[in-house]
Amino acid sequence: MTDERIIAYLLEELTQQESEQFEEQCFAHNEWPDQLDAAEQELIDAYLRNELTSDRKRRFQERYLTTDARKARVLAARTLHETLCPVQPKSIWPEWLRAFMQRPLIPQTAIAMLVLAAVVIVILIPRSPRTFTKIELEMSSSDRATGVQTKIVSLPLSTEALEIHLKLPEQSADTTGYSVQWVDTNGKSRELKIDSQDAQSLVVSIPANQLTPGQYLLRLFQKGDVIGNYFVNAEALNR
Amino acid sequence: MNQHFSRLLTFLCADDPDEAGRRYLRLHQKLEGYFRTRGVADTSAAADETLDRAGRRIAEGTDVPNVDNFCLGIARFIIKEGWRLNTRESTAFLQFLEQHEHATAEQIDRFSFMKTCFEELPQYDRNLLNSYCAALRGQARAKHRRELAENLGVTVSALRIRVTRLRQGLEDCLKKLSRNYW
Repeated sequence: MTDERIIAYLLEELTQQESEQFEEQCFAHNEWPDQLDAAEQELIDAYLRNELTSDRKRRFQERYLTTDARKARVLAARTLHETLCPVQPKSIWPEWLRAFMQRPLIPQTAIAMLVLAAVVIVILIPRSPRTFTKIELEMSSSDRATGVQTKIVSLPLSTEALEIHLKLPEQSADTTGYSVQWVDTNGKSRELKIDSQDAQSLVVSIPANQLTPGQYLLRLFQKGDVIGNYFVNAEALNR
Repeated sequence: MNQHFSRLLTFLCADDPDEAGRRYLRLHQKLEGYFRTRGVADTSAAADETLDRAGRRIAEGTDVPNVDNFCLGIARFIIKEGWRLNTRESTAFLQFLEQHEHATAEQIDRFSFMKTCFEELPQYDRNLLNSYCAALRGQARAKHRRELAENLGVTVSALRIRVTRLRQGLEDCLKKLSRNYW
């Protein structure tokens, strides 16, 4: 049973005999196959994203959208898309752009500026996480995770972000000028914003969606010089 | 106990009532799946109706060599009858969704039951849906889902089914909230 076959069944592309065979095949399983619901969901998603061929799109509208329950399923999926995963339909954008270009110049400029401002706001002011998984890390002077007990974090997190408390060296009199660099599993490094700091530790956070399994290194700098490393292992939790 | 129901149970497994019960539930579950796939709103009631008719026919002495195919035949007939394809329940839900479709951004925000339903999910499931929805296109999407499944230590197919169940749960929640609202 392939997705293609399921979709052909849902869109009534199979002959009556093939359809009946397909149903008998499904019924012969011990349980009604979950795969059917999953493939149907993908079909609905493809319709909403305008990814179906024109023939299939027409069949979807004429042969699939024949009951209220199915219409409700499609509308619910659309609501979900709007809430969680904004859809970027293939053909709507060029149509919209064409229409937009035919309008007078002043509104275009105003709208373009508003869009630009919105983009800048979205980029510069990301929504802060509200729930955190807290861990505390000891400093290591080594470049490798040896000599210190590496903390293990299970993924995916049950919160929106990982909050990391980095313990500072005890003898440190000067607690200014710190910065933290984060080296991810692909070896890419980037600066981490310090959320708060006191004499013993400083706090940084990493959004849950940026964590994948692997070892992470956090490098602590003071006034440009590396003064220590912190290690954390992220492991996929098998649920 | 309903006489047809009792006759059906005896037919399913005369010697062992527990096993008969299990077979009945399995048949019911498969019928619900069938009716869901055929776009019936109240799948449970449709499955009940099928099994009731099956029990009646068996009690009348109909020869049934394969109970699965027998029930499937009745279910197909029920679909042909257009039996309760449009329920009042789903009408209320549709009304809500159609309202949503034509609503302004402010109204959507105010009536965003989907957001409410989503917020009710455990953080793990929210993260999973968010990651799954980071939907790109074509091969990039397939790659993204493969990687996500790998990270979770499950197959892509298992991941897809898990996400589908989560989405069905959200749909049920949305249905419940919209019914209370309208």
